Amino acid sequence: MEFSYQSKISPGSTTLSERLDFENKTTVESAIDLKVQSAGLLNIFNLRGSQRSSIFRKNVQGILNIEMPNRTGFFETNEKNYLLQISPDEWLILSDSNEILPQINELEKKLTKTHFSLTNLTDQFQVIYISGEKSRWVLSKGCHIDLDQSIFGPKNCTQTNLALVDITIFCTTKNSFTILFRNSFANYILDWLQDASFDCNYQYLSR
Amino acid sequence: MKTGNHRILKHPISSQQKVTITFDGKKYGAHKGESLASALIAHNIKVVGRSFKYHRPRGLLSIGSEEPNGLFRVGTGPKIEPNISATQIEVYDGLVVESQNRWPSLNFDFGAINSIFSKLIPAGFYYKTFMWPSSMWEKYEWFIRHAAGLGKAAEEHQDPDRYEHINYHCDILIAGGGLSGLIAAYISGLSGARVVIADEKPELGGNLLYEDDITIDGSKGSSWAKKIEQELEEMENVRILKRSCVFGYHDHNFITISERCSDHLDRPPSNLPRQRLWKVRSKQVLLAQGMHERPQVISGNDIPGVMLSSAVRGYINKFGVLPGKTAVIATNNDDAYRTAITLHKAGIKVLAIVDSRNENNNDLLKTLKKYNIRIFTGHVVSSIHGKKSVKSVEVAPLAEDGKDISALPFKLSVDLVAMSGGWTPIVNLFSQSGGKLEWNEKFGYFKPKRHHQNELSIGGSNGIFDVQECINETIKQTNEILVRIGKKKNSKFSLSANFIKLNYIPRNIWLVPNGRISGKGGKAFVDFQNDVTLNDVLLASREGYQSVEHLKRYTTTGMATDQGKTSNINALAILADTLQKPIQEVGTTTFRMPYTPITLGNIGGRDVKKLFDPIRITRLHKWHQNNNAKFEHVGQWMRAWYYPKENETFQETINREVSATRNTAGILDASTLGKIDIRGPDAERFLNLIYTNNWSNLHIGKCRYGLMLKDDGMVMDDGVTSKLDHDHFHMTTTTGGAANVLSWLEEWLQTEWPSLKVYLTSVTESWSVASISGPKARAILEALDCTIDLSNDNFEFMSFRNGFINDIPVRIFRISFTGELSFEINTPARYGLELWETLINVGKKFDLTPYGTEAMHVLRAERGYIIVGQETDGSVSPIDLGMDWIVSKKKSDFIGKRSLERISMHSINRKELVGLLSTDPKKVIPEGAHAIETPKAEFPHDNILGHVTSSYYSPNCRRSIAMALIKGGKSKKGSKVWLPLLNGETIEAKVVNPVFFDPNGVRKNGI
Repeated sequence: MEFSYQSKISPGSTTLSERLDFENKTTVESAIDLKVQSAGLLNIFNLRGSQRSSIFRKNVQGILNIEMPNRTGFFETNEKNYLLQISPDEWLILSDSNEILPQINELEKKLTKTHFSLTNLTDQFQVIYISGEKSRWVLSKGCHIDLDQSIFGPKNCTQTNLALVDITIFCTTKNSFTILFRNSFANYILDWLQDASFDCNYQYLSR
Repeated sequence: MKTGNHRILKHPISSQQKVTITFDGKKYGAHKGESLASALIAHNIKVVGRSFKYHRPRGLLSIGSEEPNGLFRVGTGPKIEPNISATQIEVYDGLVVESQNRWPSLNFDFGAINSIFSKLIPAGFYYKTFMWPSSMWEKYEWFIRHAAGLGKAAEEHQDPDRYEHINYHCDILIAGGGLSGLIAAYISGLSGARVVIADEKPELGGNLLYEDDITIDGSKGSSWAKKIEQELEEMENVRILKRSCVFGYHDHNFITISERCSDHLDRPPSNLPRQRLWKVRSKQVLLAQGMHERPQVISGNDIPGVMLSSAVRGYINKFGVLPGKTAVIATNNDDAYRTAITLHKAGIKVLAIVDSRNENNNDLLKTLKKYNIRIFTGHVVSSIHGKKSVKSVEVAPLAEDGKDISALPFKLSVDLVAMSGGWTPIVNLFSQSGGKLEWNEKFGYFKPKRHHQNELSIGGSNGIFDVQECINETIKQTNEILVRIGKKKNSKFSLSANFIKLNYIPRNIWLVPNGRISGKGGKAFVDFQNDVTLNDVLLASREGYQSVEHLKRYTTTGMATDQGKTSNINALAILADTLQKPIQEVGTTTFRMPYTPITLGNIGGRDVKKLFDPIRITRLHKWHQNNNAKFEHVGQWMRAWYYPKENETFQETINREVSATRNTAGILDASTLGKIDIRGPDAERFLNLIYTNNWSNLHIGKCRYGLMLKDDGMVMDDGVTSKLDHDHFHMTTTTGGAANVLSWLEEWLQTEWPSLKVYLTSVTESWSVASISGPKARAILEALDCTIDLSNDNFEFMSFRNGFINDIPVRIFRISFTGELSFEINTPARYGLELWETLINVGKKFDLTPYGTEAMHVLRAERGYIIVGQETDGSVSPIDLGMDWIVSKKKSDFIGKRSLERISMHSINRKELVGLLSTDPKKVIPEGAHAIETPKAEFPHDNILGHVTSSYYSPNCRRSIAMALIKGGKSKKGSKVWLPLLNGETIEAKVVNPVFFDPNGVRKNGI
């Protein structure tokens, strides 16, 4: 009873894209300490399995052409795809390219004999990028984890909260973060970010 | 504008910018950088407030956050905030403050009449006086409530200010920026550790700012503090928080700090919040809050002009203001001698130092001899006289045991009394952390003993007085902390201080005798802010309140906004004295947060107004809005409730939507239902354990309704789960229960059944769901390009198919919550709106009607389907719901099975789900109405049979229908019950089966 996703990726009308367009018109300052940007629709898959299984590791690394992170809280990337280890037996696969889709199908087939789960969450999440000098400051207003660069720097990822919403966050470069959250919270997240960044020169951009 | 005559000429504060402040409607000049308290002293304003109970005129007692008397209502309009201490208000141009608890004015307060009747209103009088007659309580309460409290909140209740929270992590948090705090921060900062140093004052330095006789490394104490502060500012790993009070010490070294960001600014920049709450998680904490000076419990010790000795010194040294012209010092330790020197240097005449000790410090005597200040050892200031300011004091020699005076007192005419009753380490945060205190008889204070968390108390907080000892101990303890966190200790760091040697061992005379019977004479206050006198404490003790906790509650000692900072030790000591017990046996009361008051706004932070709680919306939300939907909250979701047309009432809308669904077709946005992807070889076994029914015989492509119980056998959630593959299931849950169900399932998997090979993934928002229901549902889908054969034969009830509708990928479930032929069409959420609009457009010619959650409720109630949370409340079993059919008798186990076998679960008195039909078919019984057995019971609450869980007008039944949980309901079918309403009306109803429409369920396959 396989479900067939069509290959077209179209974010359609989402709260995020509409809101970010709107916010772009209300940019208040030219100097930017904080930039919030929609990532559009990324392909997102949740992968569960045992990292002790050599079949599992071999196929994940081989098919996705990406090293598996060493431990929870870290991610690896091959520039096209990201592989985030968000718990000891759970990973998120992110890609903005549709080339990932056949790889996912292949992975699904190759892992059949192991205990695994591979779930398409592309439609579940919205993704935003936050960057700028003040990004850590603004995020720390709602995020309980230690966001100091020495603790949560490039290659780190985690599941945590932003204000009252569950998020998955990873740090791509010094002060740049990608944040995943459930679509229904988009309004709240944007309202919250706008309110929390009132002390920064900020800009909201759509991709 | 003049900034006051009581200032020292050429004091540095005079060069600061002049500002204008308004106090009780009158304008005064002041200097930027000083506190409101300082400005009031400069203008010789002695009376700054009225006391809580007796409305006695009160003046400033202290210089810090321990101030009990000088509380003000600050600001204007909606920004007004009451009960702010003058010692913590920084003046700025345009500052407006008002005195409190007086009418009509501070100088003439009608409430002062309470002083005349003070003998009638001692501690606990309200517990006795208002006990009779009990019927009068509401009248008394009105007066009590109006008399209670000090300041009044703003009349406008919309706080216009912005507040925020910050999460922060560090290696070492230092609470207090005085000498010890600065040293600790400096050494820690040099080590590379991540350090936070927080102090409630506008600048670091603590008491060094108030003293002129301490030299550190060759610099004046305050200059040294400035230099260290500058160096700390340059360290990237150190964060300095000024105007920031560490007010809470929680578990796991979680610390809360309230930062005043813009309260001190006349024109705050728009990018600053008013206050910021720092939530700090620190590996180690150093408590460096110093000490508080204690007052002496002397008759008349609350008269304006009686101040703590160190405060007098501080006002003169730091702000250059003169609290009086002629002073007397009342002390029991050496420290107050420094005040005498400061007063003398500032040109204030010191008539005498009255020292309760029999011996004193020779070095000090030599210095004071130069100034011709008389010293009376073995004496006390036995009483203070005056009304709105001190006029004179009585001084008397102490008897040997200190319990009485040994000769008649003599009088001194003064307008300032600088008193010192010893010093108390500030242990509030240490106590909050769970640490235990020990009594030190020598110095007469409680100090930290047993630690509970990763913290150390340093300097004054640890009971150290001597400056050099303080420095040495702080260096040692900071190095100890650095080693704990894996940093190198700094063995080379040292500092030398030059400070006069003082003897801080006090002779504590807890009840200062005045030659009269104990408690007689003028009032001697123990707790200034709550107006608790020595007599009150003695009375409470006599009346049997001999536990310190009882004393606190009976007298309210230590319960005001100052949390007893100046009163606690005196109250404990007096109680101990009365009980003839050692103080350590009396113990202390519990120190609770906040250390100083914080605003509700600061606690709320950003979680207010539209950010109070997230509102979740579906992908179709905009369509619902554009089509005039009214919404209701379901959990955090905002769901379309009904879609009224022009001039249509609520009931007319519901009738139209319900009728259309039964007669043609309706469409519902069901996207909010929880959805969980369950995968793994043990998935089926897992479902058998989670649900009450059997899942072993479910074929791929089929769906089954399941009921989930808590381990107590009560219904927790329900939903339909479908078998996608041999090891793969798609579970749906209720909208509001989705998150809880996922947590529940994970908990069982991770803690009880870790051997089960099952993975769970929430997919609630991966899918948009359009539920199309009604006799024409199939025809509508067939009018589209649908790749699925929708016939009953090929697509049975309780099965699902994957396919496409107009090229949109869909998974259609043939399940029904209306009892009609239904197709729940799931599509990846990105296509949700496209699918919905496609269905709506094609459906127009079939009279497809969008319906909301209210119509959904009516439709399901007509068929007798339950809603978890409406027909259940955590105390309802499947048997109560008449759903025994879904409880497997064959399965060996499932969650709740054992509980269902308890005898009580089968009691005839359990409430059971039944239908109710009101005798008058137009009468809709209110939900929640209680059912009783007789039409006019005298005491209806004794005969309650149960309550109505759901009730609607059903257009299809053309009458009202209701569901109810009734004791022994099944056996009552056919009988009548009565439902008394709050308006006095009683509705008669008949108990029936809870299925009101299509009793045989034939319509699910279409008609």
